[in-house]
Amino acid sequence: MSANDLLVMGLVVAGTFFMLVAAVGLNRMPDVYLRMHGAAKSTTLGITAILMAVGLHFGTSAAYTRAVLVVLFFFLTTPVGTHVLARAAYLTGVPRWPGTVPDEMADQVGPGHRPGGSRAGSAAARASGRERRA
Amino acid sequence: MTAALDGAALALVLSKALCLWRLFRGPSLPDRVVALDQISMHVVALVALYTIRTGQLVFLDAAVVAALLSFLTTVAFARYLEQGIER
Repeated sequence: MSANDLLVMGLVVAGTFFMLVAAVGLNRMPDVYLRMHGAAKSTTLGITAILMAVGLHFGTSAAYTRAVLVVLFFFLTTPVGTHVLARAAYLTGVPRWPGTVPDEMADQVGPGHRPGGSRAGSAAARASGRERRA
Repeated sequence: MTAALDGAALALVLSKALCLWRLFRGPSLPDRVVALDQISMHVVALVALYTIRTGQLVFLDAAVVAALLSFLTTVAFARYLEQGIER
């Protein structure tokens, strides 16, 4: 067994460990937002480790290209997907864990808020600010 | 090498079962969507492990496609969730 194989095995075991941590966090966290927090980052790290193991195992440029492509794709899309999903959960009124203290979206997104109408609202606010300055 | 890969695959299957439990039990719909996202990421990891195990690099293309589909699924579900509350 070469040193390369040992490195591949270490990366695979580390990646699997982080995926397992994500799954445990998905079951142990008290809240949908905390579940997203625990799951998304840890899974990204685990997938990165496993795909780097794939690149190291083959050692060719084709393997490295695909592995880095998938890793970059996850680095770009996991924050976006989690953010979109957390926003949808907040807007649909999923209850939060009572231990969560700050709620920075409370004054921006009311119960009757429409995402399509937010742009018009901010434009009106800007116009009124301009009038006040004039 | 092979034993380590098989053990890692077994641990990933166990981890996927935990995600499936959250998918089954999640009190709200976003909980289930998060669990589904996790399961599709586990699919990508398992395909990568299978690529190492068999030594066929072609299987890694399936991981690329699974990654693309996982993001699309999450965004589509989020859009669907937000459509229920307005207009």
